[in-house]
Amino acid sequence: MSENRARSALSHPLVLRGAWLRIDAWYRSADLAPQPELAMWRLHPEAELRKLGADLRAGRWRPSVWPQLPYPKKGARLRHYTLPSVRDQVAFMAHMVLLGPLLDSCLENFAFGNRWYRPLVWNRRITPRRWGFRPYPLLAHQTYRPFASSHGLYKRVANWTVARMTSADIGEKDYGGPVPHPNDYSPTTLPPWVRKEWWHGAASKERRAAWATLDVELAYPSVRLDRLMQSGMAMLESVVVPLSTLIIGYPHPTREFLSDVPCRRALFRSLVEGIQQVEIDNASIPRDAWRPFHAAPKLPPENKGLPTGLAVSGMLLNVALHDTDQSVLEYLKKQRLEQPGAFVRFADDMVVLSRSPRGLMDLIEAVWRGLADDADATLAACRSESNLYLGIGKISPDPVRKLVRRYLCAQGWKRCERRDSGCEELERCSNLPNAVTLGEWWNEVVVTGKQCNSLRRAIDRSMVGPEEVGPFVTTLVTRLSDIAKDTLSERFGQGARSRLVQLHDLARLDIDDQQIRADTRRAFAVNRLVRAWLPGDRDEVAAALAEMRGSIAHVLRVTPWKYSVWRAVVRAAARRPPHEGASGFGMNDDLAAKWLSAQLRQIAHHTSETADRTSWMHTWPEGEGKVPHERDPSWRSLYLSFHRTAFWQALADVLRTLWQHEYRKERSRAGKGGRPPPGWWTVRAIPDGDHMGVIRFLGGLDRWAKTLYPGDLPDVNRWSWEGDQLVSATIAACSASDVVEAWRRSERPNRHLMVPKALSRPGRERTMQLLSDVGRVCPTRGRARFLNESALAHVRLAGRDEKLGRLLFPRGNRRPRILGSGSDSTHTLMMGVSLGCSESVGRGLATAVLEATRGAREIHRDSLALREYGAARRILLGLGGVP
Amino acid sequence: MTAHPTLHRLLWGPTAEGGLSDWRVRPWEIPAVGLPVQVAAALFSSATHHSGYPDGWRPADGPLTWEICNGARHVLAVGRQLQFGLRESPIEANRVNRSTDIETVRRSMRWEIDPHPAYFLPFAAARPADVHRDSYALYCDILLLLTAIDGGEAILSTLSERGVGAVPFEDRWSWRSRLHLPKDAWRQAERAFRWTEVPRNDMSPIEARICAALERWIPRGLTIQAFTHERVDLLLPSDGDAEDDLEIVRTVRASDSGDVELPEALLLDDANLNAELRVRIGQIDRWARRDRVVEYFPYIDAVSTERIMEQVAATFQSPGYGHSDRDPDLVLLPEVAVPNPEVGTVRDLVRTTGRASLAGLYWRVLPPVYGGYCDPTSRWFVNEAELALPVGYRDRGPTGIRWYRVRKPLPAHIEDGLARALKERRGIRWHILPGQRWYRFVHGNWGDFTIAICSDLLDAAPWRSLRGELLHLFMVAFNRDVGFFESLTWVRAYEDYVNLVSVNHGTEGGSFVWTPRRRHERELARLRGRSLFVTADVNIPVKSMMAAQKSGGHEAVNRAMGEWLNPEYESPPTEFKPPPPGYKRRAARV
Repeated sequence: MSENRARSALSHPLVLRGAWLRIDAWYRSADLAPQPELAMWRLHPEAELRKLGADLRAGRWRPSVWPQLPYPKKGARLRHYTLPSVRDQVAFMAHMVLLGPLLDSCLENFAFGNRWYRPLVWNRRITPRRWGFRPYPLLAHQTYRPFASSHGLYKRVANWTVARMTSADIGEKDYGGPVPHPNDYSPTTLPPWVRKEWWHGAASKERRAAWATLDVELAYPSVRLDRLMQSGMAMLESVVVPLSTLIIGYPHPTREFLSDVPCRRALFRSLVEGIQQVEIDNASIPRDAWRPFHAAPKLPPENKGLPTGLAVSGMLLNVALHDTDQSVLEYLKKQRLEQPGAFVRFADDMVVLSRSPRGLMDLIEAVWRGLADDADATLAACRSESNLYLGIGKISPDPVRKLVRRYLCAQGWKRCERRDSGCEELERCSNLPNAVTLGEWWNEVVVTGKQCNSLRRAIDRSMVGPEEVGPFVTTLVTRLSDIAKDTLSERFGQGARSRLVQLHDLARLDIDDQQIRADTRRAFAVNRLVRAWLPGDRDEVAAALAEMRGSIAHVLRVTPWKYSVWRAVVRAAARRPPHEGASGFGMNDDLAAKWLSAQLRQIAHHTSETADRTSWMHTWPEGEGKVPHERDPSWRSLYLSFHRTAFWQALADVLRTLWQHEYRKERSRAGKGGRPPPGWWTVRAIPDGDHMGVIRFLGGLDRWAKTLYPGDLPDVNRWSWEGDQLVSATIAACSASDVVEAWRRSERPNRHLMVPKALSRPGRERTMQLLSDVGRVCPTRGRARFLNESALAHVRLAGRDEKLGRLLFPRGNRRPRILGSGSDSTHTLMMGVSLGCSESVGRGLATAVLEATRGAREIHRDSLALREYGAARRILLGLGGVP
Repeated sequence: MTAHPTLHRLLWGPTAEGGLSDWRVRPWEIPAVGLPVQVAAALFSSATHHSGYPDGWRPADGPLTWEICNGARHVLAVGRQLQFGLRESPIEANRVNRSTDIETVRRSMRWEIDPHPAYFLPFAAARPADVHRDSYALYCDILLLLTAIDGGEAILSTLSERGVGAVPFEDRWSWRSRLHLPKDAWRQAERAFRWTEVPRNDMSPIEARICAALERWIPRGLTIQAFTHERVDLLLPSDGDAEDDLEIVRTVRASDSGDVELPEALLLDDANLNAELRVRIGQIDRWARRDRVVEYFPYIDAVSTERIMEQVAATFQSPGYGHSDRDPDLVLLPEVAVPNPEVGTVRDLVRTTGRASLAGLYWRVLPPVYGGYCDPTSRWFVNEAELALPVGYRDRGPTGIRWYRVRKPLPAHIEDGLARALKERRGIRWHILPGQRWYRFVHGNWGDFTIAICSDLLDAAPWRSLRGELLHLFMVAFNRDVGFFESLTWVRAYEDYVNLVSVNHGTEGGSFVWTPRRRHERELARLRGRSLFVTADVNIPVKSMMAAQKSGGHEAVNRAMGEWLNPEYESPPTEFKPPPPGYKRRAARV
């Protein structure tokens, strides 16, 4: 019964729509998306939602097989990362649209990462004014609360906690005006340790704090789904906030469903069972490319875990760690007077604080007990009921990590046999019946036994006090936040110059700051730098452009795992200084091509024998060092393949934006819309009138392909991610109308990304040959009349242009060149709308759709038709289709 | 076309010729120009009070629209023509339908166009049994009210795309800055929309509260003046206690008729007023290339835009960056100065510097209600100024922003000429759309003020009607005859007995600040000189001006009496000239 109701709730059109809105937005900021599936969803989401809804209602939905990707990670490793299908993402999200608010309301207020989205507002209608949450909305584009604000709050809470512990003042103002303060939040929003009362009455009067940061080793793939099920079920039973104040916009039947606990449980069961059914295609990626040699937890395929890459996994990790949070909270409450401490968590990163080193050791042990879900566990007896483990090698600061290692060795853990080869890890030992706890060991050996004195002194030195808050300063956070404000004052003259200097500093300098990771800071800086306004005359701009490219190249070299820097690389190559006449353009192209080629040579596909000195295949930028454990040598090729993938993806994105810029400019000339606004990167970066030139420059793909693939071609069919993005860039280099014409003369594509042979042009021959060799080119086959859905999805990935509408929807009584005879008119119309051809669709088609969807009865039967009805009506009214 | 014109024909059908029955619904051509709030409220009131339901109607039969009743057709059609500048004289229909009880619209199932999808939302969210007749009828009425005051269906589209959402209607300032409804009306509208979440059988309390909130605004009868002279009094946010907001809408009344009692919140309190208000005149001199205005219209080429924005940036910048006591409170930029794509940039500056701005915006073409799919035969453009205010800049939280657009009611000859030039060049009819709304902004610390755009000042009547309720008149201008405007601005300043700040475009130069003080002290600032980019900070009196407005007249009479009784009587010198004869009272809190 509950299962049936759960299926019915899941397939409610508004729930499905809420899920799609979130997934659609998710992919806009995601690294990679499954194409052409995503483009097909965007062509007509309602049609896809209808199919999915029917499957969910009938209980037919099963997740498909997801490919694993070689997602780069710091330390020359890969991450376990998968690429779920869009359909599965939407189905899982539909579960979470219903359950997310309930689960999130149960989370502790010291957990900050991946919290379910609800608007946070500064309430000016009350005195004193303060931040407050609005209810969880049904229809929203955000899945989680914005990273910048929730991570900022996590850092601030740590800072305030230290200030309270050390009796330091928490300022309400600094030189720049008011700064955030705990009193700006309602008491329940923040953990109790940011209030003075928590620290009152404690036995210790120490005004310093010992601290450590911990993380969960390979958190997502380690989660045990059976325990996740238990944890989630318990949370759903314990929701105390009434639904009327918790959620907003949810239709009445859905509210009724959510107020029934067995129904909630049935829905959560369906969610976890769905994850259990997920299968990963990992044939291309050897296991030791991503699995650390000494990893403690059971990992896929032995343990399914939470799939990274799945949009709802972040929330589910919070559910999995909720028991840990509660266990630590209970411990902290019990110890408040004896050994007061504090705990904050952001996803799998944790900060523990205590007034004494002994308290800190006990607290680390308490976190471990919570994580292992074993009240009697000791850190040394490495057994975890939950399969979640602390990453011993990532504990900071150094003295605490060294001390923990010393303790573990004292309890019987062994150093790795390959330590002479550079392995720092310990061999875990799970059978230690007589192990003492970390705290006891600290007391007996370090305090009483006077051993490890140097470590003890180092820990003492690492403690923070009222004058020295060490890593808990928020200065850099504030600085980045300030520099992110790109106002008119930073557009001209001294303001612009000073901002450029700051951004170069952030990109190039080694700033010792533990609050923001250096790679995050550098990536932030170059991505801002590349879209900054450049002041001054032509020569000054040209010099600034050269400086900018220098900084970007530096960041690429020092953070080779940050593949997102490729977006900045491509944009920097596209930037042009102002010039007079056409004479300067070629020279600028040559400079940009030379620079971009130099960057690409680093990630070119080579065998290790053929690679030159600049190639990362030859010299890894993070330093080679010793290789402690044998591993499959293909990791490096995979790593570089992902970089090339990121480059092709960035190139495709930049090309599409440039086409869009030109399209908008053309439309505005015809009085049919606004010009590209000044916030657009293309307006700032490229002088008016040069955009088509830059499209031609970047779209000359052979120049880049020759650099990236100088010798043997990689098997981009096996590495489908690289092949997909190369196809995507090839299509993005062409206008949509060219792509339509090419498909009309080609064999129709299947459900993979393909290029029609007719798109071959001078400057793209080698690229086409490369794609042809791996079967990604559709041969020319006479003249076809209609484009199928997959071909249209390809058109959506091409550059937008004015001619597309007339091409797909010819004037007069001729049939649209979409989908062929017998196709559904609604489907045809929605595809036209999605491709931006509304004005060409024609009254006849719009009228037919309107007739089909008109009236309350039809809407009630299928409320997804509401959007289709709206689109048809809009077209009809816009075309003058009124009696 | 049916014989029964509905709201949509009234909104999207105006032409110069014929009456409502002759018009056709043309959303691909007509821009979204809302009915005056009073008129829309009157229609809503008529629909809910008089109309009942069509025979046998059930929600499943489809949504209801408003059919215009015979008795109201003429006045509504003439009013609409006047709104679009399609008719010269308002006289002929000025006293039509003076009764509040008249039925102006009635609920009907006869739609002239297909209803917007927002009307079907309840069927997407609720079970059929939960869609009650009363609830659904009220739901339709509110959607129609919003359509009427907005002139288009943008809000309806937002609702159908994103649902009712989590942000309360009363906090949606992007709506409230252009659609003026009482706060309680917004609250009740939201409750009515949320009924699909929590089914409610009895909607009469909601309906009663909306009607009660609107009732004070509904005129005693539909008059043409309601279309041509709409007045909005608005309480602006100022630093201090918890935020509240208040606004009322009425018709610009005959001078000093005193027919409306302003709520206390909209009257000034001497105790809160600052001694002075510091304004910065930003007489920028960069503009679009004149030889390309018609060619590029309504855009400005990229190079000119950069030069203009460089001067805008320079106008806002000063040492202290918003934290010094000597910073200006309000930055004024001339008429048609800021390119429209850069409006957001100026708002960002307001947010980051904490300085309010009043900026003249370059001409803007109004998009048709449903445009972009076919080529219209007529296009409308407007000349607007935007007042943007920071909210809570000195507060602990993030700085918000509130903005209001004022549309120029009296286009200059040069603008009519521009419309003709565009027609010559582009081959379709172009019209400049006059504004019909006068604002009185009430700021707790700065006093009350209004805004004029250049040639508006030539028509004395609207400004005269604001006499006694204003401390300042801010004008953005692009005058060529600087000498004439120097005289005119002083006359208006004294006539209305206000501080008048006139910021002219730097290509012609000539900005002035007048206060009704004696002799040469009346001139607080004068910037002359063609092609000059000048910024100047000027302190204008607030508290002393208020005192002069309140008691200057009595004191002058007393002085005169003293002089009549005693020829040797020497009256003590006063800072301000006395208010002009006829200046009866200053509206203020008692």
